[in-house]
Amino acid sequence: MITSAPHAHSGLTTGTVMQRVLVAALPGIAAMVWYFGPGTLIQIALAGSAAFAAEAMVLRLRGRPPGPTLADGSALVTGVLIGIALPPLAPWWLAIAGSAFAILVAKHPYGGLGYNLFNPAMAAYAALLVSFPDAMSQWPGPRPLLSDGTLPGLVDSLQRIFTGQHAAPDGFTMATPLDLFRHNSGLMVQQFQTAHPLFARGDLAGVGWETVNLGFLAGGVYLLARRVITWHAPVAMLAALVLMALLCNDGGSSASRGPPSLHLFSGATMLGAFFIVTDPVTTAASNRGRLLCGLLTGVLVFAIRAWGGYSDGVAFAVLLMNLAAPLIDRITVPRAYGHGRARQHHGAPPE
Amino acid sequence: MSPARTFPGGILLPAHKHASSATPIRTPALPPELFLSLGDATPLVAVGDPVLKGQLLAAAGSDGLPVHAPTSGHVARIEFAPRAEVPGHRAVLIPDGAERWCERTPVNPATRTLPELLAAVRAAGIVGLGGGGFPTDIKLAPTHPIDTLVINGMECEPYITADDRLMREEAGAIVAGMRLAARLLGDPARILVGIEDDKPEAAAAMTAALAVADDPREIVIVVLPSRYPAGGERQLIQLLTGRQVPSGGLPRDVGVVCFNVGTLYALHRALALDEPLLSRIVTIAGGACREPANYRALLGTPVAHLLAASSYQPARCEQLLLGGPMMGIPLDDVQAPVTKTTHCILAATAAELPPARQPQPCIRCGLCADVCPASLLPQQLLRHAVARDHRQLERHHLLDCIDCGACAYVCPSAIPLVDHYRAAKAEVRALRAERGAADQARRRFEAHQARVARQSGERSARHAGLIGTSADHDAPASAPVDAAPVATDLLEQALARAGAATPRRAPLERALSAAENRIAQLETQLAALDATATEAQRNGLRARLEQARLDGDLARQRLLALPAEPSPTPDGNPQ
Ligand code: SF4
Ligand code: SF4
Repeated sequence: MITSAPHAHSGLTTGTVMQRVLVAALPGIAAMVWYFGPGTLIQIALAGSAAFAAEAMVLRLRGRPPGPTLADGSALVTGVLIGIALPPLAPWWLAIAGSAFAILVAKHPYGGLGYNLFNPAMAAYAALLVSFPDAMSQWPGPRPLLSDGTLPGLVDSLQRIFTGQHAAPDGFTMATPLDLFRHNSGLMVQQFQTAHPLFARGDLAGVGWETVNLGFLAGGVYLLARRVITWHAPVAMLAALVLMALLCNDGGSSASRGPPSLHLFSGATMLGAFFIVTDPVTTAASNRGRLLCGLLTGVLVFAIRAWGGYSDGVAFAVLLMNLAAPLIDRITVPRAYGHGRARQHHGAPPE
Repeated sequence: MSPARTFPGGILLPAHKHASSATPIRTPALPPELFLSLGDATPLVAVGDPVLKGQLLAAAGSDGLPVHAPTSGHVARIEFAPRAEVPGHRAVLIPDGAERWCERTPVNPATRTLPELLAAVRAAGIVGLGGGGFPTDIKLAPTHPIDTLVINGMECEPYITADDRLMREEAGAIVAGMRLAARLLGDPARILVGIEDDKPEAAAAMTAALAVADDPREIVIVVLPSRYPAGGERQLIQLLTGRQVPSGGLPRDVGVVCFNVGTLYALHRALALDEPLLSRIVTIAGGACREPANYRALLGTPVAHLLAASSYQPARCEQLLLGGPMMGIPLDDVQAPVTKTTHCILAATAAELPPARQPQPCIRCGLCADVCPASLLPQQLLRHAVARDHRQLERHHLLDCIDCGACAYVCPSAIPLVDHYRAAKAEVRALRAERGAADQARRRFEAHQARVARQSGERSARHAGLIGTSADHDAPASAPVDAAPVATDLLEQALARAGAATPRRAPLERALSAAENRIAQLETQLAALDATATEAQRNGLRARLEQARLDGDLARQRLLALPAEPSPTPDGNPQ
């Protein structure tokens, strides 16, 4: 192999980048475990190892040395994101089916890492949501709202996940804040907020959910500080969400789509903003393109939440924008050096 | 001074400069032999001739640069040097150790006219010593009004300290050269000297020298934060003036000319002391040298001689580079001579420059785009280069890439991005040239067809006894008689050839032959200029000639560097 300039390198590896993403997810995961029980950890372990195994298998089938590619940790990140997105007590095969789908259908047929059109974790999540809507919507209520000991512990969670007592809502599942807003049965926002325990203590976006979102926001700030991601897509997405919520805010009538605070800190907003729309493979390449992608994702998320058929819209919005990213890339080629309207006061270049 | 200006991107690099910047510039012992590349210049001396220091050995060849004897001695051999940067003949000079000068006639430059000064610069064989190697006399006779002279004392690449030491030790001479350059450029309104903030001693020395010079013009020393590639000509101009050199253009298009401090020093020596360019400062650096230092090396000194003076330990050397770690090229022959553009020899240990990792697929993290000083999208360029999508490559301004390597430095997937771009650039250029050739061929063919049609028309007219009455001579000369399909074929063939050939070698060969054609054409044009041609025309042609040579050299180097059999693309990117 020809050794070519530059001969120096920063030493940063893909593995390090992925490690930082995993570290950044920790605060959000911790919040989830505290409020919704240790089931999330089991889902992450299941989905993570399934993704890892699927990746190893495909690499073998494609005749690639699996070592370096597995070491980059990208499959692991996909798995972890799926684990986070799944309801904590979902049956074990959901996690495995999701990871398998992500790696085998959404990633490798397109050429593997760097070539996939769709964000594998979101593609898998959407596939599961469409195929198993019931199992995918059984969220436990947050710990403070349940009577002591109702939220399953580790052993209990393991049993539920592996023995399939998932279907029966038995005292600890509860609608999510976004669900509540969809089915608010004619209450004014104010009434409704005082009436429902999720908001009773002055929580803006629902007990637990807002803490989880703050956790992912903290991780996002870390990723920004380590320059793993740029601010463009997340800020644009969050700004678009707030803007849409403000535009559609009717002062809190019973038809309200929810105040901006709800949209910012509920559902998968922060996870989406800092861990999903920032997925470099499937978003636009330039910063301007990322701004545009983020903006449109935010609009779509709100639209799906407000008028669509699902209570949260992050996964579908992201997938739609993944489709648009190549187009956005074409219209947002940045102005290169020397192509500007910069002063060229002495006429045209020679020739 | 002016508001803080900046350029996009850039990276912070560990400087590694102290090892070689601490000691004064050394004068090495005379090497046993000096190797002087003659190119296609005709030697004016014969084997065995005694020569004096500074004596003309060969008049300027096609590169416009004369060759002088760097020291006194005799010509031992004139031989073919196949491994030289530009393969050609070289003279081998054996020094006699006496350093006897030929006759010099220093004239106070203040009393000489501009054409005289320019001629003296040309005769001294001065080129840009910052690495560009562009003939200085051409830059000094600009075709556009110049309002800003930019002096490059940045030296932003790690390890290299030649300019730093020169500014510390010879600031007075540099300032004198700067004033000469300003005079030749028609006294631009301001002179801006850019120095990176990691060279406070150099900045202080330059400030002191300027205070002594007491020049009424606006001369400002601007200390700029160290950020690679802030010393790139285009980036420095942007930093200091806020102007961008237009794509494909030259700094003079925005009223700027930029000189490296070493060039100004040489300019002063040439004009004030009547000394041709015989030596230059070379940094010998890297952990495999026990005494890194700067040397005032005679041109033609074998690199091995300087390495030995710095206690080079070959066993510890992982990579030997001609140039710095970012833009240097591997040096496989330690007997290679110092040339006018050799500014650094880096003998790096494995700890300093570990061997490149196996490339991984691009994860489109965008770090490369964040650091690109030309505001390109390296990840998109990579994608299109791998796909050989030349239209997209041009849309993404591939040719505005300055090869700085910042993108590859940060790439977490360790992709040799610059390598991809260099190969792709050669392809795009070759394709452009072929397109030009196809256009020309089409025009010729159409003209021919029109002529044939006209003649056959005349013939049949004659047969019909109609000659002289028809208006056939008014037919447009380029009437496209059946020409279009043929022209399309030509274009298609060109594209198909460019697309289907073996990767890498074919495009490079085409780039080389295209450059050679251009060189030959320009040379005839230049030779055909008569006395009435303006200096501007002459310079314009020379500049284009120089560019053609650079393109050719690049292609040739890349060709030589290729393995014997074209290998598959070295990275792991699936197609
Ligand atoms: S080329 Fe390297 S730095 Fe650029 S996006 Fe791809 S992986 Fe990242
Ligand atoms: S080598 Fe080219 S693409 Fe890479 S950073 Fe430098 S200018 Fe940009």
